[in-house]
Amino acid sequence: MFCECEDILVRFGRAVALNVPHLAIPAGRITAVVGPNGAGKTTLLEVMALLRRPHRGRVKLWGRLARPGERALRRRAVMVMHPGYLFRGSVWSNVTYGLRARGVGRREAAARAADALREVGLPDLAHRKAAELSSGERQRVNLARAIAIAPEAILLDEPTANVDSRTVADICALLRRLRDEHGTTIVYASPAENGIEVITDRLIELAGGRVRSETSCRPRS
Amino acid sequence: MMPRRKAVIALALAVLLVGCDRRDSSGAAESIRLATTTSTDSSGLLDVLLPAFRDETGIEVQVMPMGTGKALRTARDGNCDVVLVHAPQAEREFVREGWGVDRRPVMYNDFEMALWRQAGVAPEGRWYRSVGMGMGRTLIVANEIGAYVLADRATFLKFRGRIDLVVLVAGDETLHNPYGVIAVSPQKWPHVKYAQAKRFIEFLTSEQARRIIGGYRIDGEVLFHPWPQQARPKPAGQDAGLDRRPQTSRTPPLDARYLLSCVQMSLVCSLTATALAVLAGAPVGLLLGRRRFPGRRALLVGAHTGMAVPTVVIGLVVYGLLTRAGPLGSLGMIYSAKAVILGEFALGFPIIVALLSSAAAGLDPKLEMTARTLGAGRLRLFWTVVREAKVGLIAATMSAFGRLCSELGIAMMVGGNMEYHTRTMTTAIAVETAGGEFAHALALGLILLLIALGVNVAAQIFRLPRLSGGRAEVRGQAAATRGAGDVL
Repeated sequence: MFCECEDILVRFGRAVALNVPHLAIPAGRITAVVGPNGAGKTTLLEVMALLRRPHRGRVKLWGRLARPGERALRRRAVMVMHPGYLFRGSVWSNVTYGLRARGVGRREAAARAADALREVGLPDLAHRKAAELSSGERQRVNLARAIAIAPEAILLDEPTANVDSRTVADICALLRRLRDEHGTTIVYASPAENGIEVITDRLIELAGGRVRSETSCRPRS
Repeated sequence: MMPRRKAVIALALAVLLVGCDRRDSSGAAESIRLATTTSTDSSGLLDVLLPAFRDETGIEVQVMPMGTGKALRTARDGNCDVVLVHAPQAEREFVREGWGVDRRPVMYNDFEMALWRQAGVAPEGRWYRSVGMGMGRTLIVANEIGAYVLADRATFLKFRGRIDLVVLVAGDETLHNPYGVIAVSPQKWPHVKYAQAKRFIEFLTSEQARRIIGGYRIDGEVLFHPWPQQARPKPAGQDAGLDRRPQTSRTPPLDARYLLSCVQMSLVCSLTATALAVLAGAPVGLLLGRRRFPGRRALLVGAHTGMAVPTVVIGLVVYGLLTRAGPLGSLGMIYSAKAVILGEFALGFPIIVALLSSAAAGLDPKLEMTARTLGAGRLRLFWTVVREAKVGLIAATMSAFGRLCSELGIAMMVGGNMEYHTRTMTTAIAVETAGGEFAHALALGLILLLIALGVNVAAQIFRLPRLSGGRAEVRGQAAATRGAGDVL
């Protein structure tokens, strides 16, 4: 199992944003979290990425209980937000950020950043300023920044919003490759229609902060 | 590009500091601080007396011109070594209470505020205006509003070329106005330079000093009479020369050395204080801008209010702390560049906090979450936020610097406004203004403006990237998402 949630409660003010008595997400699979706006998808991803402490409940990642402020466990998973935030400076400094935070040397970081940019189809962008990119480019740089780290799990918030259908196909191929070749756990949140259902192993439907259904889409090939 | 810029900055700072050093070491080996009335200082007499004293003894006298009451207060607080004032009653009291020793009469001229008491008239009401300024400025104010004014002969002679006032009464017995010199008691304040102060007193009462005092003239008129001589000042009847411009001017000539010392003092103080305010204020500002915690709003209100505190009030508080009689008096920091830096730090800190917190609050709420999910630890997270808030940080820094290098109250209150020591551009402007040298004052103001312009241009070169639409778009989207709630 990648993640097990027990008795999770998250509130925004008085409103309950997330109320999940029990939820398990398998490792090495692609899991979709779907539901309308305000269903709690993003909040659930943030809780699983250990970026948001629930008001109540426990989160286990790979069988280990996450304690507040635990960095080692948090570093094994990366969340790609929507809309993503790019730091000031070049694309290169953005894509190497996570690597430098992990003490990876300059040269190796540069090589891995270049690989990641190639993976998302932006091989020539490294020295552009982040602020000058188009929104589609920004989104892919966000993705490259996460996969450059080669995390064990990637949590993506609306990965296919604002991108054209060809890019959706590229992203599908990339996620599938990560899963099949590296065994990476992938969880993405999306409003119902997204274009990557084809590669999804498991579907979790949220509504009003609660899990409405869990479905296995197809057996893993 | 960056390394070269850094080298240029380092070089500029080095030049500044080396220059600063040279100034400090170029002074005489020994120095004492003299608190004296503005009238002795503005008459120009000290400019003749003090070099003679230095030539003879090697002791430099740092002059702090102020009102008589404040001069005695300064001495009582142990913030100077010797006082030269004209208030016999207060002087006697000062000595009787043990604050001063070796009181000696030095000279006299004809002016005495105790007149009111003798006349049996209370100086209050609509007909009376008390001008809280030096005698020179008071004359100018009286001239402007068409008032009668009580002034001392020395200052009047110096200013008469610039004003339309005429002498109505002078030389009367009741106007006899003696000046006394008193050393601050080493029993009360062991740190004072009593031996040197005593030499100064001996010098002031020596035959040589008497000759200088008696020989000092403006437009051929005697200003002060050395003490033992019995001759009363000549009645100011012979007004033949009254409409001629005075030849002697107390306000220092705007030569390069003087200007450089003022510019240097201004820059050293305001740059150091700005740097300290940024170092201390930036973390606080970022915290207030980026985190929610109980008391945050109160602190923000405090910071914004802090921006409105008058500099004189900050000066008073710092004075209260640093004065010899105050809680930090033993540090001996009063009337020094350090004291000014401390005061200016107190002025700059809330500016940095308030402006930076506003700028930081405008950054994307996802900033920290993004850094953390990418694996940043606390330190890297902090530097990332600093980097993202760079534009706001630079703007806050420039605002603070502008405010600090243009402030007057603190430099005046805790710096002491001593020529070549703690005189800044702004206090120099105040001196020129008080001396009626408005053109000089404006010229100094222009120089100060040019310095500020230079610093801002330099900052602009480092600073802002080209404007871009992309970032604004992201910010707009981020604002639509919910605010930073209970983040880990």
